Amino acid sequence: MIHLNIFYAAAGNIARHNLKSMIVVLCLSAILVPFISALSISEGTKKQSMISVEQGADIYLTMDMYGRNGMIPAALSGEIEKIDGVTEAVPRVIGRIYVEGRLAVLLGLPEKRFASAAGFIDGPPPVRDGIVIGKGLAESLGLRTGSDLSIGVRIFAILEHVPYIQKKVYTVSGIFDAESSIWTSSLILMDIEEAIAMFEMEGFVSDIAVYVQPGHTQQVVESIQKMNSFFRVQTKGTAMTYMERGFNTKNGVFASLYTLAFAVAIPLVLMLSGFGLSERRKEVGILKATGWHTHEVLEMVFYENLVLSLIAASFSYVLSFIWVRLLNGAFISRIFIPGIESMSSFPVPAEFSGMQLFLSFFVSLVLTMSGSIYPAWRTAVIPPAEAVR
Amino acid sequence: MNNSEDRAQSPEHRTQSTEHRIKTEEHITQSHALIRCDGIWKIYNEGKPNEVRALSEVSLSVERGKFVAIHGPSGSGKTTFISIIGSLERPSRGTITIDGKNIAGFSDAALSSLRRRRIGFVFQDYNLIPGLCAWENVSVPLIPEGIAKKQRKERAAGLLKTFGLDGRAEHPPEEMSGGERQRVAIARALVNGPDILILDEPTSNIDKESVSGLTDILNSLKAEGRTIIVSTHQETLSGNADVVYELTKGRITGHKDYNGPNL
Amino acid sequence: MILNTYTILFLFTAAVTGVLALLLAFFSFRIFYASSRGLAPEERTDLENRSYLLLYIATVILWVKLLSWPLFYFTLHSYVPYIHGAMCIFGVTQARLYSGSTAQIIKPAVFFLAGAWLLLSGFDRRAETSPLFRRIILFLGVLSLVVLADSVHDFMCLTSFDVTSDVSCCTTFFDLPDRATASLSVSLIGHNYEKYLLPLYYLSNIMMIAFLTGARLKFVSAKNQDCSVMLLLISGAMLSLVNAAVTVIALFEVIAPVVMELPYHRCIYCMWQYAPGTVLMTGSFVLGTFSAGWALLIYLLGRHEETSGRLSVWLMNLYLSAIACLGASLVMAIIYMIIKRGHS
Repeated sequence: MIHLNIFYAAAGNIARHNLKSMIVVLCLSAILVPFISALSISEGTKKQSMISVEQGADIYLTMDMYGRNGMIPAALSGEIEKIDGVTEAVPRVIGRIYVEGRLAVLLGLPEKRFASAAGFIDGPPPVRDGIVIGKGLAESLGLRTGSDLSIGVRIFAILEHVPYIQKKVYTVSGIFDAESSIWTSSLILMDIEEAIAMFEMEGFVSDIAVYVQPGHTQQVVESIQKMNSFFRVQTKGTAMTYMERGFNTKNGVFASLYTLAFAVAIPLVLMLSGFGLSERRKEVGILKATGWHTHEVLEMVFYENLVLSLIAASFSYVLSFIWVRLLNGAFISRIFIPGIESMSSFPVPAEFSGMQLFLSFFVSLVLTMSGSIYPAWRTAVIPPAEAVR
Repeated sequence: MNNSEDRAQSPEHRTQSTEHRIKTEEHITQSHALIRCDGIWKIYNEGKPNEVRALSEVSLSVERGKFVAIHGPSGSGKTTFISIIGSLERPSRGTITIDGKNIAGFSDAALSSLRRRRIGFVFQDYNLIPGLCAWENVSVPLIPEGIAKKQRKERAAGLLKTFGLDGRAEHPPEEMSGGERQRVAIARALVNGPDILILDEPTSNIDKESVSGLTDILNSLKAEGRTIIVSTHQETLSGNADVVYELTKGRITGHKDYNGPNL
Repeated sequence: MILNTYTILFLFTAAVTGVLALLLAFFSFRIFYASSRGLAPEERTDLENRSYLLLYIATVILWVKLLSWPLFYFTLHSYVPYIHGAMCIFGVTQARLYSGSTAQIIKPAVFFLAGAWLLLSGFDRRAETSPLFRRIILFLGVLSLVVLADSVHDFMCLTSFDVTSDVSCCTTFFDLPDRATASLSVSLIGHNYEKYLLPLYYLSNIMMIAFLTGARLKFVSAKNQDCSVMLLLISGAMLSLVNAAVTVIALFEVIAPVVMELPYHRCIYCMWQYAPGTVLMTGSFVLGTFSAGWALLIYLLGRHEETSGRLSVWLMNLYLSAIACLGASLVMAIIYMIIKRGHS
């Protein structure tokens, strides 16, 4: 009961010294809001990417070209399909293009593959001269089914060494919609032959997506590697691992830079805690003169900081939510979604969880507590006799 | 060398002081004292250029249930002395015993416990906490006692009613007169049921009418058996005291016991 | 080093607590030295005031360490995708250059010592002249060094992960026939140990509770300087250690597989993930075991003529807390066993 009483007294003090409390909370929030927003956007983007990989093929096959992923002969898909355990091998063409100044991803797939994506497409699958376009991209370009769209690709002809732009007009045959806001804002689907022609890569594709029977992944990987040592094989598991690592590392780099802000926050809290100290010293002197122990005063100040940390963490969490959901993560989203400024606008993926609240409270507590040690102590050890004078 | 030191060095004063100490010590040993101060010194910044001797070898005793006044002019060390009696600060030298226990050796925590349980203090400027209403101010000492808010409020309201402030319980000190604030401060000092009540210059900030009210309150508290120690530079309250000690420049220079021998 | 948000936050915390621990150590030993001679009242007040600074720093460290304990496990958990072969925290701990068991010892040690220090401070505060002041300050100095060691260990541990190594995770460690917990059980109980381990766990805990209850009754009548009190407290601490050993083996060998409904999987880390309620069960057991240790420490460090009147009351209260915590842990274990066994 004693501790509860002191806790309530501390809560009352926060309300009574509302200006000081507000300043501390605002300063902490200024530091915490970008941090929580960044974490939530990173988590959201990671989640969408992971879902995409999860729903994709079991194995992705490319050729090794100068140590990087290179084009692979399209005809190999037939050979791959013959491997025991493989259910389907789908050649794909993937490229980044600009459509009316907006960044988009062009994906060329064989016609048979569109049947499996039918649930996501409003309209018929694309045939020659037709494309399916992401809902977000369509909205931003004011396109609908039946609209025409001119797509140009900058080609660098290897033999002539002369770059030129290849342009062609396509008709929007359908609109693609999915949970992933990034895909709907940037994806253009077209028939693989069209895509091959557009990128001038006759006989080749970007990669082959291989679907296998459950439990056959390793065996199929080994069989593919035996076919040609220049094949680069990536399984779904490794893709997910690398993706998770990539996002985590990006988070880590961001957090490392942000540690500087945390380090600055400690002396800032120290400075702010001194705000209104003379008034506070008088009060504490009265408390001690009326029989409060110094450790009880310290306990009260500790609770005040604890409550302020909680308020700052919760307030920051709400502000981050507003920043990400209403302001669409302005300024901060570009750290985690490269090229977002060139893409059609779309709701920035974000994932808010209890973990971020915990981390936010934890950071807030560490900053407040360590920053307020000296002022809290100076306040608590004021001689009670000072209150008399 | 400051004035009090000069005075301490003069042979005439030394003789007076020694006689006075002997008489006081005799008086102390004869009585069953609740509080005993023996050779209390309080020197601020000792050994430094800005050294100040606030009290020099002060000895006195206070019997249980008595009304004791420490009388003296401004700057005579009254506040310092009652701060030491009230365990708000430690003497530089000397012993102070309450119920036979030397509190000069007490730890900070033990001194706080003593203040909480045995001593109620009414400050010259009342020192009520702004922003808290009257009952909240009164119940401040009960918070670390672990008493629930409801009981705290009941106890504080009861005391405020006793002092005629039942309609002012929800008002903050800023909305009260000097006399009302003082009564709130007295209620706060009494809320833990202490047997010793110490008041620092209680008549300095109130009008004549309030002084009369205060005298009544103190008399009734004395009748309840509480020991009251008042520091004052006015005669108004001293007239009601059982014992009056004269404090001049940090030394006891006189002693009147209206119930016993006068020194 | 594996760079992610958890690592950075944890390293930041380790740095902050490390600096605070360094300050704490410096001031503790300084105050201890300064208080060795006779003090004028002003000096005493000054030292007391400084001791409050130590109190506050230590409280802040304790809270930050308390909150960073789960963060430590979250951090290790976030390393699972980086370490080949790791499927849970246990696998991650195998990839460290520094011994994983050091953290398992040093972190509980910080809380045990911090708890003892808090209790001693509270005990001393109730005495009139603070007779244990110097002992407590010295104890705090030692505690600050352990905290410093913990912070340094955290730093070294997180910056020295060998991400290139392949590790064996819990399945290949705890599920092998020659795992340590099984070998120990076989050598102590025999090959049919699984049959007897759960009853042994119940019996050990019930006996521990019975011993603590009996000892409490003895504290009422015994004088503090009585040798029997010391004997009881030492026995209590020793029995707690034995009980802890039995409980840990039972947790691995019997309780974890039943709780997870995975008969051959004996990983406590996985158990905590599968059934978060078991964290409370384990925590309650740890607190109960610590309480018996704290009672011994309070008796060893808190004896003084001024505190003698309250010592037996504190010992009784600590043993009561130990009984309550061990009892709660046992009840939770029984409930898990009934529900999960019934379920399976």
